[in-house]
Amino acid sequence: MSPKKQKPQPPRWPDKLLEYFCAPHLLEEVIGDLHERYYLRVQRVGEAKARKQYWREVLAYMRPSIFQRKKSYYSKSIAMDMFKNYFTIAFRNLLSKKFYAAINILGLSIGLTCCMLIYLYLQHELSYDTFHTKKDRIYRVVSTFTEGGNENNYPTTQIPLAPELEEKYTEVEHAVRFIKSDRQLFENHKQDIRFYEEDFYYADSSVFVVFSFSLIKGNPKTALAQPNTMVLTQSTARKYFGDEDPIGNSIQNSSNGEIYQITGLIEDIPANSHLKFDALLSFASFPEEEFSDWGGWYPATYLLIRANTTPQDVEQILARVNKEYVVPIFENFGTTIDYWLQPLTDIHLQSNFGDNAGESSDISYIYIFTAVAFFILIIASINYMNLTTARATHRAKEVGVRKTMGSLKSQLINQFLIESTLLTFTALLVSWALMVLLLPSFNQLAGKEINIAYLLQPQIVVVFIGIAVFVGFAGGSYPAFYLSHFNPALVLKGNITRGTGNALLRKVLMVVQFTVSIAMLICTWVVYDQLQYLRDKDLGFQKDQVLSITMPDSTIRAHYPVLYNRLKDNPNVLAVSTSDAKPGTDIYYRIFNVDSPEGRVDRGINYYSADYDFVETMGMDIVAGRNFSQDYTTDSAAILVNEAMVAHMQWDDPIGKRFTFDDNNEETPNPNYTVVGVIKNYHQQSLHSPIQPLAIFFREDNFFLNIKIAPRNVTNTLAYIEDTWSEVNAGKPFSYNFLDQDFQSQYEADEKRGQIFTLFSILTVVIACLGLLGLAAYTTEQRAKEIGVRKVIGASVSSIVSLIYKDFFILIAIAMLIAFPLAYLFMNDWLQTFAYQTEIKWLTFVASALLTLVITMGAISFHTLRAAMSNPVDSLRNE
Amino acid sequence: MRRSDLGEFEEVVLLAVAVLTPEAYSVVIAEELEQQTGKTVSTGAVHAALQRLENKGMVSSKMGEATSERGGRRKRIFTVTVAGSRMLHEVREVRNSLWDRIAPQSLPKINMA
Repeated sequence: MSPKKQKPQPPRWPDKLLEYFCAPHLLEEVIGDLHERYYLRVQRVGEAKARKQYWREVLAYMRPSIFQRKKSYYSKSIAMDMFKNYFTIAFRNLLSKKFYAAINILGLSIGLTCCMLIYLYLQHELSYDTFHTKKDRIYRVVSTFTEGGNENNYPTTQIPLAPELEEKYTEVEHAVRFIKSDRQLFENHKQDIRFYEEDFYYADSSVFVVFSFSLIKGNPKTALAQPNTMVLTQSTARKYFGDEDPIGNSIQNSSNGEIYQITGLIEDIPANSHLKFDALLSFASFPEEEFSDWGGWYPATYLLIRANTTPQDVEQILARVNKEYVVPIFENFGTTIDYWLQPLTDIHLQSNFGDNAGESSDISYIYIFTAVAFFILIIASINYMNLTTARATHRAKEVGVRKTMGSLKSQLINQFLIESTLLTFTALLVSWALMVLLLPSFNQLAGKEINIAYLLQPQIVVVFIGIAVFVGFAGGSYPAFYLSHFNPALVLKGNITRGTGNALLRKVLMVVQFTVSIAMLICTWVVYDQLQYLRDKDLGFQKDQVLSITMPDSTIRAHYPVLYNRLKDNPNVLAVSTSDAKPGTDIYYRIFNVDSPEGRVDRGINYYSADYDFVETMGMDIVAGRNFSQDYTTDSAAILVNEAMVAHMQWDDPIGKRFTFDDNNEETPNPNYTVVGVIKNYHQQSLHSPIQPLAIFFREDNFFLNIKIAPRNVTNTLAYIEDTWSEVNAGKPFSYNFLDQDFQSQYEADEKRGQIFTLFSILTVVIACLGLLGLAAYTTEQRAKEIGVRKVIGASVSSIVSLIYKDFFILIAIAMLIAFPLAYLFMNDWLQTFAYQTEIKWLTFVASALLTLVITMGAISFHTLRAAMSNPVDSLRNE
Repeated sequence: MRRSDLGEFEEVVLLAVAVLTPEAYSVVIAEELEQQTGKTVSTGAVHAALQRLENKGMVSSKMGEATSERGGRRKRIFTVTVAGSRMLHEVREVRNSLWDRIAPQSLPKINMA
């Protein structure tokens, strides 16, 4: 046979396929057989046919038995010994390279702690109201008011709705109403113990049947059935009765003289309940007569619907009731009202109705915090991965030796995974300690009361360990695989200093970290800008040095004129007045009959009442007409309106316009109230809401006492006021708030958010720094030879430093490009929730970038300088 | 003689190993069988049969020489074991005794060229 110049090769692809599938110990003979037969066939039938048949042959080899790998003949007892070795080596590694171990552990701990605290928060938020056994059948009725294109939701209904539903419709098993009692003075007569109470509620007797508030004493069905009965929580009972059994005793409401029998005792309301109260008064005790029409909204109404009914069925019933009772009242006013049902478990997080600021938690924060937790965990893992891979060079020789001694790849992978898990568990322990330490501050920040016992619950412990294992595996897997693939021959020759891993991956990870840090810094800055703006903005009235005191009962109010004169005797008391609302509180809303360019029309009006000195006390400005004045007897029916009202009603001349209450009856028509002056617009509500049209009616004998004092000698003035009060109102406790604090508390949620943002910014920056630190150390070590050569050629220290800096700065620049638009979009969205916003200044962006730059330089300087000042001899010694 | 003891194809392959000893391996066995039966016999099928035979203990194997046609890869040479030999003889005896007891007219006449 004449030997051909080039032998026809069998097709390559089938071979590759086989290499992938076939068990290694069979591969040689199988491919050999195939090739040999191929050549025989080439001689017999020619190359083309031989190739076709080759394909077919290979496919014929695809059978299960060809995959089966030979069983490893390492027995388990050897594995156990190896574990011991792995642990020892891992331990020694940690101890010998304390710096890197510390950075790794610290970074992981911070990440884990953050993640776990956020998990605690989320879990708590999501668990609200879940302790009620019937929670799947409990709904709250929400009323939607639609007037002139505006839609407002209120979590309240009319008083008669509940009994109407419960009595007439079988689908509603029970309907429970809650009405908050105003701030009243309650007293235990026998022992002369009295307190002002704000969190007492009237509730229907079925409350204990519907909700799972556990009654320690008392009958759930009858405890609140009778009028003048009351159920206390444990702490309230202790407050009034000490350790004595409160059942059978009674407490008196000093403001209206009513005496309530204590018929039950319940445990304190758990923290994760949206309904929070200190005691329940029976609804039968509620003075209903004035309020039991279908035109006033007071109670929150909760429905327990029957087992086989859907909420939609009940909503239809509500529509029927609506049509029957409510529509007739409101259809003339151009207002429509709709009822809908809100599931109990949705209430805490999804009640973002206009003015229901209360404990404003929002489902969107749940999403945000989950995202943040995820982020931080990912960044911590990435850092860990980065650093470990970067340090791989130092383990290379060890890997080479182990492989030469016969270690399998799987064993090496096991070893490194074990090391990483060990590290992660150390980090877990550290983060546990951190969590215990930080728990009080966390509680304060999040407004919760989680205690250490809560942390030790089995499901929480399992979640934490699960997270740690996941991070250990995820973070450790890449380095483990990377390390175990070293070629022992190359490594032992010392050739592995270059090309450790994917430089691109590392750079991308660094850019991600920088982006997050810069974005967080910008967001924090903007949040603080906005908060400062809110604090500083002119509110249209003077909130400083204004004391706010309540006059809950009529005796106190009767003494007001005396109090007024006595207080004004003090030159440091600048003004004294009363009102039934003040800036920052809710105000009243009612339909009025009003003069307008089109004649008398019916309008829904926001209003409250105040006396002569109110405008002066609050430092408001009259821009047209005049204030209430004692010179005019007709002022008993006078009104002040704000500029927004003038615009809303489209009045050319507001003075002299008349308001009437809408429920005129034939015999005694309601009097007309006349506008005598216009006040400059001021912010009644927080700057979240725009300014609404407002009317202030003249009235004396109001609930709030407002005192404006001079800025000097405040303590003396306060003492004077307290003494005067005690003289005039003997036996009534004196307590006051400052108006600016009150008003500011509306921004409490925002302030908290600001704090949280700052915290997260610091965290991301710290974690990014840790990553930087490790990376810088590694990079300078990598480039030691390069730097050595440059120095020999004649580079100065500064040129080397700038060389290394330049690389990092490029990464930062890229991060900036990404972070700036992201942060801008996000912050713009957030600012839209405020009716009044600052603008986002470009200075913020510049400052954030600079800050990141400075921090980066700080982090990498140590290693960079050290490398730049090193002696080239040391690094080039081995060449 | 259950099929699990020795399948039909396995029997043939085992016989081929005996025939081609001392250089019996997948390729030559497959070529031989292809010649004998006139139908295509894939190397993979033969290889599978040999594996099963080895698992049953009927053959033993060891690695042989490498050639350039195989790209420098060695071949796996099979030889029949004692158990394999015993199995072949048993099978043969059964067949032969049956053949001997067939009356001349029972099988239809065919033309064996």
